[in-house]
Amino acid sequence: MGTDVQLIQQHLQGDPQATRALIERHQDLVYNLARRLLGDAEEARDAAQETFLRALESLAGFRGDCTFSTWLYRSAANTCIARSRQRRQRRSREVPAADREPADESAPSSLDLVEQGERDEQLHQAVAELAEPYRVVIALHYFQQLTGAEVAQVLEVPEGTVKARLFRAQRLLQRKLNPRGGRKIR
Amino acid sequence: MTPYDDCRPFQDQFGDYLLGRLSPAEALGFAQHLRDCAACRQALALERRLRAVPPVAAPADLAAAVLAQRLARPAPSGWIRSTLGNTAADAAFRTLVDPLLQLDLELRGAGAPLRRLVAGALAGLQSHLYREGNKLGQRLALPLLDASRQVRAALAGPPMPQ
Repeated sequence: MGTDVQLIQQHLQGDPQATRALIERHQDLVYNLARRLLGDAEEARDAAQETFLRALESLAGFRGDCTFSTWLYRSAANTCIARSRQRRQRRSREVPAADREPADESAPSSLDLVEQGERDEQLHQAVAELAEPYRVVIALHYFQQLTGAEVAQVLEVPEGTVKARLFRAQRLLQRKLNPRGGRKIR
Repeated sequence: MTPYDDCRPFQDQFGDYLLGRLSPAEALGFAQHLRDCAACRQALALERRLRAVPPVAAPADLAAAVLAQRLARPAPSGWIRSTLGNTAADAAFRTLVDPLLQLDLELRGAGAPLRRLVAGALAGLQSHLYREGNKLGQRLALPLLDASRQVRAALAGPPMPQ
């Protein structure tokens, strides 16, 4: 199997095997990001499919300014952000704000009280509740294991911005996970 | 408690600390800070939890689903020519059309009946391609149909004597 660039060239020449190889090489990373950003497995699958379809259709315009995976991550992140916003808008139309269940601010710290599965669920829930810019940097940095510089390239923002968002995201997560133990964020 | 901003240099080092990338001097300073700072211990525990989240594998049929959806979508403008068109049309010419063009050249002096026979065979090929196109998807069949139409047009040439 060739490099990404070779596979892209073969795909553009109409080689369906190259197209399949390109998808299979990156599908875990794209799906994992979608799953972490959207939560729901079906929604993540749809987002991953949409990401690949869009990417394949616009590959002729890929200039190689960054690696293919960075370009694909950017596309996946944008697709997930758009889907996430649509979902939020749908929900806000379906359930009036006054009827929505308020966040449980008084929940006790459960770090040492619950099983691992529940702790993971709690962590994912806390990440899911973060505002979009923080959720995206957490997903790219921790779940996709990209460096700060790589996250900056994907999001097309300065590395300092990524670091600041990560720092603030960690503070917000700590507050959500340990409402009584975290310090106030300035 | 340590002022919030004082912790940031240490918290920026969490990744390096967990991956064992700190120098001995940095590791010592880091450990001392951790001992004194409950907030950083808590933050480090969160860092560990985030890094320990296992990756989720894509569904096994994701690539197949993308390829199927791609075939089902209407072709964007210029898509056939830029991708399938070039290769499929070239292949069609090489395997189907070139031999027929060669046959046409050889039949130039052979008279109308034989030329009509070849034209009829090409019409049959076209309808076969059309039927197969419904099965294989129009994207694959269109370049082949296009190629066979060109051959028919070439074969038609000047009006054939009756």
